[in-house]
Amino acid sequence: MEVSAESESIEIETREINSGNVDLTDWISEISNVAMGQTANLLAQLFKIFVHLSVPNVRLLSANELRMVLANMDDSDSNHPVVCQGFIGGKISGENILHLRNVSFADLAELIDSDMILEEELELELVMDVANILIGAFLKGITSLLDLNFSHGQPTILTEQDLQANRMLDEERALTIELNYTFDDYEFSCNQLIIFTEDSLKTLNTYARYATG
Amino acid sequence: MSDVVSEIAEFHWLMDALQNVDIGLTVLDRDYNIQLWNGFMENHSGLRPGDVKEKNFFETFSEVDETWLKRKIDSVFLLQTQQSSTWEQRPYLLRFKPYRPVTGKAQWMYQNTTIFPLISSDGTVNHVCIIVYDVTDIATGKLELESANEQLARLSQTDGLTGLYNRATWESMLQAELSRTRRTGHPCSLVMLDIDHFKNINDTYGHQAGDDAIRALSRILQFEKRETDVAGRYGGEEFCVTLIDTTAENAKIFAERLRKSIEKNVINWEGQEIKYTISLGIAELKSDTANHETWLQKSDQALYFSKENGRNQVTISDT
Repeated sequence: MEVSAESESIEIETREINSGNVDLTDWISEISNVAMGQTANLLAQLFKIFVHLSVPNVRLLSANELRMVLANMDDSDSNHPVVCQGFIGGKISGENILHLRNVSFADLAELIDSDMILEEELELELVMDVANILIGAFLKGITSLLDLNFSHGQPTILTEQDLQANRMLDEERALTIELNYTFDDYEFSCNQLIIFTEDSLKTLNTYARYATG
Repeated sequence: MSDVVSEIAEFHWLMDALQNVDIGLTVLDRDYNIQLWNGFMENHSGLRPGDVKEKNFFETFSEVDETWLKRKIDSVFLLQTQQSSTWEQRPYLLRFKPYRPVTGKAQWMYQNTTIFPLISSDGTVNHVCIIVYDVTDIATGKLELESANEQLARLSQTDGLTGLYNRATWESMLQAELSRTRRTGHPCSLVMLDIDHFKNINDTYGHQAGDDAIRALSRILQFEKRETDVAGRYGGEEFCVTLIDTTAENAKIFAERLRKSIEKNVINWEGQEIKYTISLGIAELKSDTANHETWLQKSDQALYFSKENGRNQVTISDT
């Protein structure tokens, strides 16, 4: 792995927020790996094809870095929709964002076995149906492992404006989990970005210390 | 026995539904102590049912306007009818974070609140239920629409170059002012003004220099006029101001002040200094002024006289 000055500074910051010997990003990575395996398995059962999930990339990002990550999703058009669902519970909150790439509506319909007649107004419904399945599965895996039960908002499609309007304050940081999904025999793929807000970090740290003794 | 088992099972999933419904539910007794706290409330407040049970609602949530909510709750107890409050009255009951803290547009969760009585088995009301609805998406949508409409209205009423009212808007305001003045009997004056030899500025320095002169004049006009006076861009280099509660003599004081400010104004255009002057015409509204068009005509004639008489001066219409 290439080590840039940027990732070094992130590592230093990570150590700073950890009071104790627990590395929050390491611990979240471990949990994410377990959840990833479970999710791939469940999705394969549901879709009856192989679903490949990348190893989750866990990072602690500054507000500016997160702004850049979100701005990079901004090639969103109807073939690359970005779907977002907020979550909150147990003093942890954040957003779960799914970026679908190279979407063909015929593919989506086939994937969920829909016999829907493909009209333009149904495309949104199809995207949301697939996004609903994909967006929730991995986070559910994580929350089960942490024994948490989040409330979830309604999933919505993010516009260019939404992706640029970042409400985070400059000095705030966010913990992010990124992973990719690819599907055997299909062209389209997904990137998922789970963002935990700054005020969730304290709670997550407590969990981390507790879990790793 | 199996009936009891199935009843317990039913009670269990019924509670599960209440716990997980995406609406805030809390029950208070007559002393405003919290008796029920569902999953929505728990997740959004970060306080568990064990943390708040039997705690006073107002002591737990200091952001709540106690007098206001007590009045509502007391009337629910007394009248045994429902009470509501919408986000437009108060943005929220409890200051919760919105669902999308990063990409969302709201700082907090906008809420509609409903309070209704819970009638016990003996018919008395000893508890009220408070329901909190998350209406953030509706609220932000509506607020955005309102601000977009305001912006559109502003754009359609103003002149793009100067930010003054455009001719159509200014004329309809002049008409309204005319009727108002007729009713009140107060004096009202109209000033028309025009940049002298504007064509020369355009021809010598280019149209952008001309635009700069128009912008500079508009800024000075905005600065010199009173807040109640209405200024507009009538056309190309022609401007108009309605001076409320002002006789022609007093309008002349304003006009002279404006004329002198413009005379002193220097525009720096690509290293060159451009000086310019204005001519002005004033017409006070008279009882025999037929309509706003004749009023405009009179001030225009006075302006024409200033031009004919050597420019850079003020003339009062004498008819």
